[in-house]
Amino acid sequence: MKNPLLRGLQAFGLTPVGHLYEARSHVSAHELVIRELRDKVEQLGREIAAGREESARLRTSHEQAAQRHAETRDQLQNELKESRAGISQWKAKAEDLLVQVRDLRGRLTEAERVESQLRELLMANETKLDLVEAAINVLDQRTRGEAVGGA
Amino acid sequence: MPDLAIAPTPTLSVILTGRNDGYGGDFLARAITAIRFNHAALTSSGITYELLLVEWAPLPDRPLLSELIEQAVPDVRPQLTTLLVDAEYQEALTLNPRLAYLEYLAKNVGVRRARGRYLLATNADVLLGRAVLAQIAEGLPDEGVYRAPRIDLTLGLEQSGISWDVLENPANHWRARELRPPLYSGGTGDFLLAARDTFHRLRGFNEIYRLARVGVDYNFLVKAYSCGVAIHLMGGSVYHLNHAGSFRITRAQYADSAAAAPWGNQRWHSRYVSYENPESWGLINAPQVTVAPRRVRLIFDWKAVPPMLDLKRIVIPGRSAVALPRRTGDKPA
Repeated sequence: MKNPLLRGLQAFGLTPVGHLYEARSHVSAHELVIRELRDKVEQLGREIAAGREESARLRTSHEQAAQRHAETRDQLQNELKESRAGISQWKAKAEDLLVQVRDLRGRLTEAERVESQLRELLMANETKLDLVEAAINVLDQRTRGEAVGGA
Repeated sequence: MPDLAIAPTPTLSVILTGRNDGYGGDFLARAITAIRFNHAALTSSGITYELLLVEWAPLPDRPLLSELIEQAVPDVRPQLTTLLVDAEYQEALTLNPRLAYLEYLAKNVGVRRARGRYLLATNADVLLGRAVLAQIAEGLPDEGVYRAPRIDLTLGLEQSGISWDVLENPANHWRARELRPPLYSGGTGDFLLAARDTFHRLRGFNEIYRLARVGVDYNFLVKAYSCGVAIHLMGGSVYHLNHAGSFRITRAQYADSAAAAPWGNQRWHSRYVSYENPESWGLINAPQVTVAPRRVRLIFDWKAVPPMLDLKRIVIPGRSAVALPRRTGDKPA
């Protein structure tokens, strides 16, 4: 404030009207800003409240999800245990079956061997039957021949 | 045959059987051709041999086959011994009236009396190949039975000019057969060579199953294989003078009436059964009389005839000679 008159008026608490109007104008502008800021603060307050509500809801949801997860995990662990027990049982059954298959294979081999021997025996017996039949025929013819010759 | 017992042991005994009955149309001509050729081939190969001709049940109204052969091939007389088997043996032994000639019993008669180190059971119309002769001349291990594939010569081939060139020319070959292990069967009766001891250990061909002629040669291979005797294939072939009445050519005529075939039922189990001939195999107990130089007659005597039935001598082979058919009802091939 370089103007000494203005400095003198200021010393008595006075100021030019222009300044006053200018100040009033500033005040109004500031009041507007303050109002806007208040609105924003209120808005933020509302948003914070909503955020808190959402947070609470999410927390609740998270807690429920965690609980469900824990339950599911427990359930899966139980199922896993059961599955493992089942696998052990199937493994044991499979081993039993393998033993049975091995046994059956052995019996099949033995059956084939016996069948082969029986077939050979059958053919030997068929050959013997051929011989018996042939011998009977020869004897029959000789007998008839002698009977006719003697008659 | 006391006169032969002191003779030196020949390397080979060739055992043939036949009679002057015109078998196959021109049996005599084929026999003469083969005997002449084989005599020349064996002699030039340096193989000492005897030729045992078993005239089984010769026909009374015809000249002896051996006489006709001696006349046609006089060179072979020193090697030829004839065994005349009385016709009553055929009548007493056959179990199949349609089987007029028990070929393998006849061969057994020769096998039992042969003196050679090796015995060759063959047929009268088979000519020995060059490689076969070379192997015999070189010497064979005593253990084993030796087989050679047969090449059938063209039907109706001129026989008077038979020579190595003719035999070995593929243009004169009608068909040749590849023999497969382990038995090397196929035309077996045309060439079965073994040491005398081996033949005797096996007791010759089957004398129990006197119902068929066909398959008896195969059955011998089954018997040998079953007894652990290895069967070997020789390096060369033999040649067969093909003829119209041969088994291969005429068997189709009896395809639907196997039992009526003159060689017996070819479907008998010759591949799957074995046999144990009696000690008297080869009619060894038949009384013998020498009727002419190197000609011996086997006089009929029931004492020499084996029983009509001796079922215990039909046995199962010691090991499977060939794979058995898989399904019940399958017939052996």
